[in-house]
Parts: sequence; structure tokens; C-alpha cells
Amino acid sequence: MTGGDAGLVVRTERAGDRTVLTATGSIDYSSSDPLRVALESVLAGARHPHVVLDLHLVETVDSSGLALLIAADGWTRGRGGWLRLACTPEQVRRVIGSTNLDRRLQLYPTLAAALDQSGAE
Amino acid sequence: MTDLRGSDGGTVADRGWDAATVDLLRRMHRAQPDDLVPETNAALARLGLRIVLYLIDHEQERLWALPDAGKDTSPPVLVDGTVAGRAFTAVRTQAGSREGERPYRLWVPMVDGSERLGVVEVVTDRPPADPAAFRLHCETLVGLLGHLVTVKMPYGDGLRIARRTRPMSPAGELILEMLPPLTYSCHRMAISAVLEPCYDVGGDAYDYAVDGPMARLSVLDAMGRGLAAGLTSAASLAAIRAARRDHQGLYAMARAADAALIEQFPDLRFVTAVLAELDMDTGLLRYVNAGHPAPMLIRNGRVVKTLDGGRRMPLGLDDSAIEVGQEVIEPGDRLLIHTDGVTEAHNPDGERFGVQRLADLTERCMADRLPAPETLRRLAHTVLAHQGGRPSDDATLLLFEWSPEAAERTRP
Repeated sequence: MTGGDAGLVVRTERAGDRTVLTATGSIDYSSSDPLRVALESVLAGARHPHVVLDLHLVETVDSSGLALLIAADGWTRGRGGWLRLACTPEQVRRVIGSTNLDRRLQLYPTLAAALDQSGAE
Repeated sequence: MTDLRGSDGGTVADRGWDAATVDLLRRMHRAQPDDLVPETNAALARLGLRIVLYLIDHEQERLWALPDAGKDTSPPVLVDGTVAGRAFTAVRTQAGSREGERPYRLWVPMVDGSERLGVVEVVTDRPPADPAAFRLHCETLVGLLGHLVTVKMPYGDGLRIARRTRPMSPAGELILEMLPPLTYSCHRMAISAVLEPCYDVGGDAYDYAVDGPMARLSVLDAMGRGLAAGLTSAASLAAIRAARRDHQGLYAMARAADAALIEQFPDLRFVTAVLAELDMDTGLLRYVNAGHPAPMLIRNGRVVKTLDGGRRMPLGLDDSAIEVGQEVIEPGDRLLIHTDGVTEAHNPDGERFGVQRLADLTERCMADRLPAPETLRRLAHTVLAHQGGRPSDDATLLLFEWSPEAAERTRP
């Protein structure tokens, strides 16, 4: 389970008490570090981190990328917060579905839905 | 040669073979791995025979002759398009000389039980009076050589090196040492597997164990690459085996892998896997699918369905979901389990190999009634060719064929 070697750029924005990370590129074995760094810096200062990861510009996620998403989900839950994935492209949804990781990761069709205050915790 | 029967009912020729076999076995006690061929030829000299022993390389493309004392080593032989290769792929002895031609030559497939190891070229200047009996003697001898190669393999590096066309990665060394042979058959079933890239395996692995009516199969795919993936896979495989040999069931085997991965690795590691067991007395197949591509059920040569039950998250994610999939299958059925490196393999244009192509090719091999290891060799080579020979991920296939005919196809 590995993938391509395209780079990854991550932009961090605040939206009220939520943090939106927008990733561009591929989240894979050789590229996922920028996302790890961005997640760690969000989590470093947060008591109840509410993180939305906007994936609409992500091309592929491989098994190492999935491991990072699962780990980030664990970190946010462990601090009383959550991680939501927004606008997950078809390829990435397929990988998450086929590995049964949709049982843990929370997927939202749009950024607005992921940011919705009434969304499930 | 006349058929001179001795008092024990055997022919003179039979007794010559018996003496040579006894001599060979005596020589083997203290033989080094690299003594195998010279000692065999010394034992066969009384019969006027000489052998050249070829081992198959890991990519299953060429046969490589082992060196013999004082003789030039024969050049490697391609599997595709040669008589020697035909003996290997079909697991059937092939004549290597025309009738009456000297020297007389046979190409005999060498298996350890049913594991394809290579071929043995048997050469004699005296064409046998009874070619059918001669061929049977040669097949028995080569069957013994298949066992001896396997027995001698661990004591030196020479036999291992002979199968390599390039260096093995550390992860490859780790995983290959852990895996059972690629092919095993018994009287009512055949199992075969293939793993690519064979010199640089990362996180893929397979396992099987057949005890009484129970055939137990596993295919694993650890996240990541290289030795880290190899260690993840090795830890899972060890945990699964330990649980299985402690008489635990599929659910407990998966949970044992969860515990091992969580305990051993501070960072998150996961492994997708299919763990399955078939009771060949009842046809009840039970399985757990930890985030892995669904196994295919093949009936009458057609992929009739995928096995979509038994789902849980990948091993290592502490999933207590207890669903175990069940399916009653029929004698003659086949199961094909693959890792996503097969179906996700993409060509330079980005086109995926895909499940449909895998199913179509498998059906074509079934129609050709190929031995299970040959079906997988061809599938693996097709997947490699699709990627232009440069795989970006491990690709593993395991085929289980539940029939005596399938078992018969894997032996000479």
C-alpha cells in the first residue's frame, strides 16, 4: 500500500473555534510530513481541537497517509476534540471505504457541513 | 537391455537405481549444500547418468544451473519458450532429445512435494531400453533431489544465492524467511502464492496451514514501505501464528495481531489482512477481512462473487467488531486473495490494473487448466508488465484450489 510521490502543501486557517487545514497534492509515504507538522502545531496549543481537513485538492492518499489521518483522529479525540474530513475526492473515499476506515474517520461532503456547529461530535 | 528379473521381483535396472539411491542418501549426511550436485553425479556414475540441476530464480523467469566440480556451468535457460521451461511450468517431464539421438536427455521438473524448485536435466549416452520405466526412475530421483535441496538449503548461502539475480533487500530477507513455500498441495487441495517485487518485498506476506480437514489461509499487507513495513508485517504474522497454534479462532487471531502491533510500535501501524479457514469436510468457509480487498470465489472457472462479509478495520486499530464472514463453498471451488498492489497497479498512463482484469485473466488461466503456481506466475508477470516492470507497491496473490485434480496438476 504505497502511492505516488507528488508533493504536499498544507494551508492553515482559523474559522471561529475550528481550524481548517487545506491540503494540496498527495498524502503518501514520501509527502505527508507537511500535514503532520501542521497537525502537530494545531494540536500543540489546543484544549479541544476541532480540526477540519479539506481534501478537495488532494489527488491520492496511500496507506502511510491513512495512518497519519487515523493517528490525527486519535490525537484530537484524546484531547476532547475531533477531526473531520471535508470534500473527500472519490479516490480517497474509495481507499477509506475499502479499508473499513470509514468506521473511524468522519467524512463530510462539504466544508460547510464539516464546520456546522450542530454536527455530531 | 533385457528385463532380467531378480529373486526380489525387481529388474537389474531397478536394482542399479536402488543402489544409486542408497549411495546418494549415504553421501548426503555430511554433504555441504554445494556438494549436492557433485555427490549426486558420483552416485549416478554407476548408471552411466549425469545430471545438471537448475534452480528457478525468484522472479520465475530463468533456470540457473548449479556448479558441478570440474565442469563448466551451463548457461541460464529462459522459462518461456524452452523445453526446460515447459517441464517447469507444466510440471511434466519433457524429452530433450529426439528418438535414437545420443546423448539421451530428459528434463524433469524438480519439486519439493509440490513446491516448484527448478528442473533437472538427466543425460545418458545409453538410451534406455524401457523409456517409460527410465522416466519414472528419473522422476523418483528428482523428487528426492527436490527434498534434498530443501533440506540442505539452510546450511549455506550457496543454494539461496543461486536463485537470485540481484541482491535481496533486508525487508525481503526478513519476510521470505517467515513465509511457507509458495506452493503446497495434499490429496484434496492445492495452495499457491506469489509475491512481487520478489527482491524488495515491503509489507506483504501470506501464510497457510493445513491440518486434518482445516485449511487456514492468511494474506497480509502492512502500511508503508521497506523494513518498517516488513517489521509490521512480521509482527502481525507472528502474532497470528502464535494464536492459531494456541487453538484460537479467527477473531482471536486478529485481536492478537492488534495487541502485538499496538504494544510493539509507539507510532500507529496497521495491516490489512484476510484470515480465512475452510473446513473441507463440510465446505464451511469462515473469514475475517481487516480492511483488505475482498477475496474472489471462483466456481466452474468463473469468478461468481466476492466475499464481502467479516469486515473490520485493519489489524493494529483495536477494532473489537466481532463479525466473522461465512460462506458454504463447494468441492472444486477456488479462492483468490489479492493485495491492493495487484488491482491498484497502474501503467504509465495512470490506468489501474483493476479487479475486472484480474478476474478475466484468472478465468483464462482456469480454462487452460494450468497448475496453480503457473496461474499465479502468469498473473504476477502480467501485473508487472502492466506497470512497465517498475512496481510502486507490493503485489501478492494467493490461490486456493479445492480439488484432487488441482493437487494432481502440481506434481510430476
